[in-house]
Amino acid sequence: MVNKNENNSEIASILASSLEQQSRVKDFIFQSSKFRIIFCFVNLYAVLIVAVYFLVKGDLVEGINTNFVNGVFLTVLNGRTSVFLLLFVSLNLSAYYNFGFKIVCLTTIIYMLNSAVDNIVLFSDSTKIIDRPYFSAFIITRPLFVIALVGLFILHKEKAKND
Amino acid sequence: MEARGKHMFESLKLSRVFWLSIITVYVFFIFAFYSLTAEFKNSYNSENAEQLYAAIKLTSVRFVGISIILIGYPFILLRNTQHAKYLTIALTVWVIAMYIDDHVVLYRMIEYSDRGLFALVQWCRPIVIISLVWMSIEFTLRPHPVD
Repeated sequence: MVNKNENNSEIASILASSLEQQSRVKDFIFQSSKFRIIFCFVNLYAVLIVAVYFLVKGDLVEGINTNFVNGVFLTVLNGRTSVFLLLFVSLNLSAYYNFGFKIVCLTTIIYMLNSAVDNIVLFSDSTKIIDRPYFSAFIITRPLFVIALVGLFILHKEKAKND
Repeated sequence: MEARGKHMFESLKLSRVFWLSIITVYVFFIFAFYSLTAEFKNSYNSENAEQLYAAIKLTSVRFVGISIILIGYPFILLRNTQHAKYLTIALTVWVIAMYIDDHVVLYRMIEYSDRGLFALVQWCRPIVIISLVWMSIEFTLRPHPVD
């Protein structure tokens, strides 16, 4: 009976070590549940931003001041969305392959902060929140998005604990 | 004291190109600050005064952020190379983002003066970007001693 218990513990340790080896071979690192939840939120937010942009650009929603949309702001929005889309794709790719995630995340944070500062400096006098209700919702909640990205940057694990 | 300071910089084991890059960055930003103050006086006489004023306004706000980073950078560099690495990458990304924004996104909103010191500063921007990219690459790829 004693021997059987010893055998069980030996088998358990062998299985545990083999699983560890397998995970190292596959270079697969489990991120924390917090990280995964925040990552889902960031993706959802980014998809909504891009969806609203295409809806407004295609004139598919009502209640938007056409002068505002046809003006300079649309040029700015086109450029910003293109760059943001590239960063968003890079963020997902780097998370999937676990390569340079922190650098891409930092790039996205800086880009978002820079565009926020530019918008505040250049458009705060000329546009009103009522002219752009859909975009205003995103502009107001942008700090939340930046905080989520900072959270991803801090919580991301590049290497397994025992490496 | 002097020997200790010299030892602190040597212990970072950074190449001469890195130090040249860092000097380039600091000299550029001091020069850019001087040109900004000089250009501000001439902005009202320009043909595109509104766009030039927007450019100066935006550059002034950016300068505040960059000044804070550049003042704190040497202290972070000496204390923690890992933090200095991320700060260098952040500064590089910011400078690139500003360059892309100015030329691809905001080109209808702002206009920089095409003569005088400001034009020279604009011409030098890619050199500063290259210097910062080099600094980031060196921080990322070279092995560093433990802080």
